[in-house]
Amino acid sequence: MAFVTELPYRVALSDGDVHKEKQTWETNYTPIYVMTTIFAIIFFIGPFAIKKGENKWIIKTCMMLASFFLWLFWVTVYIAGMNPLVGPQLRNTTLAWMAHTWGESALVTKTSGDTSSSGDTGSDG
Amino acid sequence: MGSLFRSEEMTLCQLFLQSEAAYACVSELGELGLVQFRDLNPDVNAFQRKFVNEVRRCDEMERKLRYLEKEIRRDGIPMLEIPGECPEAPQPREMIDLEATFEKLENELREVNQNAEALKRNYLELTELKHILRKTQVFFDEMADPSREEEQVTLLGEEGLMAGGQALKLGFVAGVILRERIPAFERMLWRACRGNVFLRQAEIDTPLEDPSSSDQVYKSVFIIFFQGDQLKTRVKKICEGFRATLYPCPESPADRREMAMGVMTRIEDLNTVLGQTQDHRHRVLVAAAKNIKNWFVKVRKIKAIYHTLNLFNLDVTQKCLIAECWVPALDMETIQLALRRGTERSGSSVPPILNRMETIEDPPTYNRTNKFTSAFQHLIYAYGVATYREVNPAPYTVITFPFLFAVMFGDLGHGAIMAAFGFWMCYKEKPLQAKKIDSEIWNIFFGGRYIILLMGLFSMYTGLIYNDIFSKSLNIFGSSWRNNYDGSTLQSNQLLQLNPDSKDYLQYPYPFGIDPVWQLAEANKIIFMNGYKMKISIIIGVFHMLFGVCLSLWNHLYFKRRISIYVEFIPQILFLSLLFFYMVLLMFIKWTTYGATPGHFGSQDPEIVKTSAFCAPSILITFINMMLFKHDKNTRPQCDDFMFSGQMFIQKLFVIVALLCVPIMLFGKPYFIMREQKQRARQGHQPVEGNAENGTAGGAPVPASGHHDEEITEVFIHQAIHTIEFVLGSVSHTASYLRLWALSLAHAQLAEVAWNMLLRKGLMSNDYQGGIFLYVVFAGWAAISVSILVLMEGLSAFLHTLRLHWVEFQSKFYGGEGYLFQPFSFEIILDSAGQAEE
Repeated sequence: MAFVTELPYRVALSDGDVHKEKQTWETNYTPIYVMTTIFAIIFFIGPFAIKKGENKWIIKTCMMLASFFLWLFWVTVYIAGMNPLVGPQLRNTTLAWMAHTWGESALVTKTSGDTSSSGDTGSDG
Repeated sequence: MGSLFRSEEMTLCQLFLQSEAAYACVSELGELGLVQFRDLNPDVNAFQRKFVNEVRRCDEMERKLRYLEKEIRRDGIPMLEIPGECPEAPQPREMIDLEATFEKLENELREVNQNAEALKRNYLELTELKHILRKTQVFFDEMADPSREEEQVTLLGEEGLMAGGQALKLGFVAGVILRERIPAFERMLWRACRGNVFLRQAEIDTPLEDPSSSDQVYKSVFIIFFQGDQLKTRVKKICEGFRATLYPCPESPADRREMAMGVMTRIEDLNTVLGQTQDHRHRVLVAAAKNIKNWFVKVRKIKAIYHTLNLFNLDVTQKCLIAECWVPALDMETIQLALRRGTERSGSSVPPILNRMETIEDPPTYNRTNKFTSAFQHLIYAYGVATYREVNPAPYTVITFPFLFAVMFGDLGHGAIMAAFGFWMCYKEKPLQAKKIDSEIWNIFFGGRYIILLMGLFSMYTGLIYNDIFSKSLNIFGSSWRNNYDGSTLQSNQLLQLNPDSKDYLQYPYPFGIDPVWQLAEANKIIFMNGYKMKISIIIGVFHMLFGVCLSLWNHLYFKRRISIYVEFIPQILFLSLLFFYMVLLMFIKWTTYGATPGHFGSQDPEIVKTSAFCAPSILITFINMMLFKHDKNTRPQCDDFMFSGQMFIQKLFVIVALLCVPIMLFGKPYFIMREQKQRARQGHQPVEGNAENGTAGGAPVPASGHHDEEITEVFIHQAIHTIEFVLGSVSHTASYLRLWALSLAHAQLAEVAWNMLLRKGLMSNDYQGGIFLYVVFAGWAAISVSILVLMEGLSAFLHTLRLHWVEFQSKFYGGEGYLFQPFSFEIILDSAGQAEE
């Protein structure tokens, strides 16, 4: 379900410089791979690292259970947030602050139908 | 395999001990703490047992020790704690020495106390006399004062004076009385003697010590003047009634002075003697205080050994004691060694014999835990002790309990406080344990220190994921939401919503947790969080319950209930997975299928609309329709009424298969039991290993007499109850996991209220007075955070997590019908005796 679309986009930097770059846009699965790998290492390989000690079995069980549940919790949040169906409802003051500190959106599409260029959005009132 | 996976294998053993060696062997076993003795004389009265005399002697010794301890505590002498190892139980011959020592100490102490009391009484009398002599001097001076002569004429009038021609002689008594009694005393005197007596009183400034009760009391000196013998007797009787002590007081001043001097000397002498007596007592007590804890331990151990010996049977030859005990199978070697040590110590030549016994009884449940796992094991035992050799839920509880708690408590700040508290308790374990603090609440917290530490750590993780630290969020990786409204839009609208189907959302989520922008959201923060938290609660719940059902597979395998695997385990798994795990999958499908399409924001292209937010179905409605085989009318014609192709068919298939599982669960097992019973009846009661019925535990011997056949109706009813419980329970337990959502919502809201109402007001104040205001407000906010949010919410989440484990998780596999292994252990006995003392 990855959408591979070629989009030119413009980055609006704070000093007004605008330049075009080409970027392939894909639904970003990197964090999932990274986190799953980390937790999978703990889940599958971790138990083999515990060789000695009389509490081997319980340490292994704890590692496996902990890594599974922690991974599950994280992956659920991530997948839930990948395609949000609604956005936050914010106060105008908060929105102004967001525009000021976080900058405007880095995504500007040039396909037909979408018009706004990067210049006149999000300026402080 | 001594692990926590299931309870240990226990053997019933018979122990033959030679009478001489018995004491030493039992002492060694008590130090070891691995043997549970059974009472072989259950119908024998406590007073008719063999060693009742020794027990009585131990009781007597304990009584003397308690008396000594009381005296030591009264004087405030510190009692030396036992350094290092506990002393071993002394030999029987040492008991006589101990008894003699205690007897001597007790007698000495009692004598000293009696002497001290007598001396104090003497001292009191002398002191009172001293005060009397001093005060009455004043009275007599006044009486002799010529300026007051006219007062002397009052008694009989002028005739009497003229008749007698001499001053009337007044008698007097002097004494001391409690200050509180003086008014009543005066009144009584006035009434009884018709006003013909004259009382003068003066208060003694310093309080005097009452010898028997050691209280400080205030007294007054009084002197009563009267005339005649009748009044004298009357006055004396009244003084007796009011418990006033009368003292002989000489009339002439010279005599009085002499007496006063004599009294002073005697008081000084008495003081010296009293001081020396107290010193002696102190020395005796200090010497005793050094050893008293030691003695307590020894006496308690002796008593415990004799109580245990009372449980044994004496065999016919009277030379050997027989005991029956439960012993963990893995520890046979250790116990043999201990017994040999005991025999050597007692110098006996005959080695003790320990041999296994066959039994059909249920052995006790024993789980070997260390200080980390014992807390979790106790949580499980509080609900019910595991059946013998059943799968133990405790090792999984070590992780799932803190995790479920953390889902309900998720706040980085509060979690950090909890983790810090837990860490401090675990780090300072030894010193805190040595302090032996009395408070029960502290002991509860301290006993659960590892639980608290883990709960805090997991809460910090879930707090990071919920992005909630004291109701604020952290923006570590950069939010994925931006504002694209221009200035004029902002000025004319107070509330604006961001649209994910536009540039407002950067089309990739915040990499770790919930996006920080949601904490800033006004009205729909809770709506969004609800949707997410409810889903995660169900997902976690389904996994937890599936895990529980899988554990039952291990029970079936171990107890060799192969049929149960086919007619109980498989239908249960199918039912849960096909319905609830499918719902979980639907959630993931919805999350990944529906949403904005980057590059085609706001597009009206029908294919894109089908996967947009507009067409996202409600999981709940889908699930309900699936169960009811209903098909709603499609109110949104642009959207498909299915999420993936073939959905309707798959759903129908799942529901039918799940429903088919129900009769299998209901009738499967009774059918097989019936078949087996018929088989057995045909074979004429020959013992057949019951595959369907609760078979024998792996490793334990097959009982010689088979189970008697259960009533077939009983079996059906039993199975029906189990099936209904499971089927209804699967729905209700799944919904019950929604408490994870409810409590985390409550916690987040409470934290937000505390912040907005308190700390925010402080942080927004200006100038110097703002600083002071902030200082005060911070105290209030911190107090509320700790007391309500950490303590109260923590307790609440703890309770709910416990319920989730006990009911939702354990009902899938746990029997919990065992009884606990209670070994004969000096450690346990001394601990409980120490606690009972306090």
